[in-house]
Amino acid sequence: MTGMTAGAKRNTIIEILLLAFFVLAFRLAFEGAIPFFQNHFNLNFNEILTSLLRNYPLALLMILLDLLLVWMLLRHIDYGEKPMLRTMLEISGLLVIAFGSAVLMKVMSPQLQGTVEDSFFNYSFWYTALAALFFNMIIIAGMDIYAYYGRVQKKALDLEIGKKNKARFQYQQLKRQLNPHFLFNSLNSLDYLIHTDADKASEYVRKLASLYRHFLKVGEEETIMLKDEMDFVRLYVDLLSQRFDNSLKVTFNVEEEALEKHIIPCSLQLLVENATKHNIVSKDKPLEINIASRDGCLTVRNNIQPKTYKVASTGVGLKNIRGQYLSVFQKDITITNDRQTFQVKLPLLD
Amino acid sequence: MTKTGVTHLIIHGFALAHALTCFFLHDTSFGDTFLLTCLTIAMVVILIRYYDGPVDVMVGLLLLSSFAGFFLGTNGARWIQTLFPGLKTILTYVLTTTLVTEFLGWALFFVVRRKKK
Repeated sequence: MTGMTAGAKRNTIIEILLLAFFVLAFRLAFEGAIPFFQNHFNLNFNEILTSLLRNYPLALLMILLDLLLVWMLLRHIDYGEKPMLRTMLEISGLLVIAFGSAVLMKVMSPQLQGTVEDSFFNYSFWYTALAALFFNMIIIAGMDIYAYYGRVQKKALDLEIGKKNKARFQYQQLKRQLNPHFLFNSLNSLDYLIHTDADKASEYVRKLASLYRHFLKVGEEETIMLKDEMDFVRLYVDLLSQRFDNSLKVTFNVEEEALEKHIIPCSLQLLVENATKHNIVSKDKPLEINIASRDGCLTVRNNIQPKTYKVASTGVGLKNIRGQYLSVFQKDITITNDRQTFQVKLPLLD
Repeated sequence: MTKTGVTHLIIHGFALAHALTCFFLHDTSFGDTFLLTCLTIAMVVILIRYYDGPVDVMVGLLLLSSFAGFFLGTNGARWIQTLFPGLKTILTYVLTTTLVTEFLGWALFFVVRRKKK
């Protein structure tokens, strides 16, 4: 409510007053209708309602139609999205179900049809429709409240899971920022370059600084544009190439329009890091990583050439990316391993 | 005041208002039905708005509460009269309407207490 404008607030109050007035009017009309039918036509509401509910196939049909109505509305209009439209559609659906039920009841129960001179839509028919309206209204309102309650509980749970995933991911990112192995290897490469090529060493320092600047910048972000993540990964790959003496071959086949889409920060870098961590990268066995976009996804694929010594893998990195994707985008990543290649598909979001 | 404190105030306040309305109007020619329904609707609206519940869910809750209040109130008074035949008729109605209002208020609180994000 904090961000609500004065106009929207006024509209909400008007909607609430209208709905409250509608409920009050319906409730009073209903209370007036019962003695009216009882006194003028000797029709008893409880008897009509009981006869309606004793017709089991019809009662079951009404409940199924109510369920269908609530389910359809839930699929197309979420609670609080368009309250007036939703309410109007629900009331219209309720009226149709009640009217149809009264028609079926009359057709199925000969005692309600009266004499031949009686109109089909006589008082008995309308009283049956009122009883059906009452019954279906209670069922629909109950289902709606149950569905809303379930949805609210699920949202609260998702929110907690999302918070947990985010905290875990941020912790992993923080750990990566301070990764002593990466820093140690980078400083070794730098030491080598300082003695062989001062210009390259200077460039290397600039790239390393940019890399850490990026780590700090995206620390709090939930998503990042693919274009920015690609720039970051290029920097990272450049630094790795120095270390692996150009045995690491990374190719980019990303479509122009995909660059404007979003992904989870550092997810691409983490996949490149994983590939170099678990596979041999040497002149004899160069590691080939292909980064490509297709069908709204970013695919990172590398050839599998496991290191002779097993690198301890907990799968936490991939688990975190998956957790972040599920919590931020509500989409899952796809991991495939066919013993020749390892592939991860990251969904791209607008 | 805490959120739960305000909720207590709303529910108990409306229960008291229901009880007073029933006590003073039940045996009059005007009757208490209209005012009791208005009070129930007001309580539901205030609770839902306080917990920022969506307007469309409010309709279902309003309808259920107003009918449940009516049926539970009238039948509840009959049950109390059967259980305690010595109790004055007006007191059974006052007691029932208070209990039903408290029940509806807290049932509603459990539905809307978690705000949808």
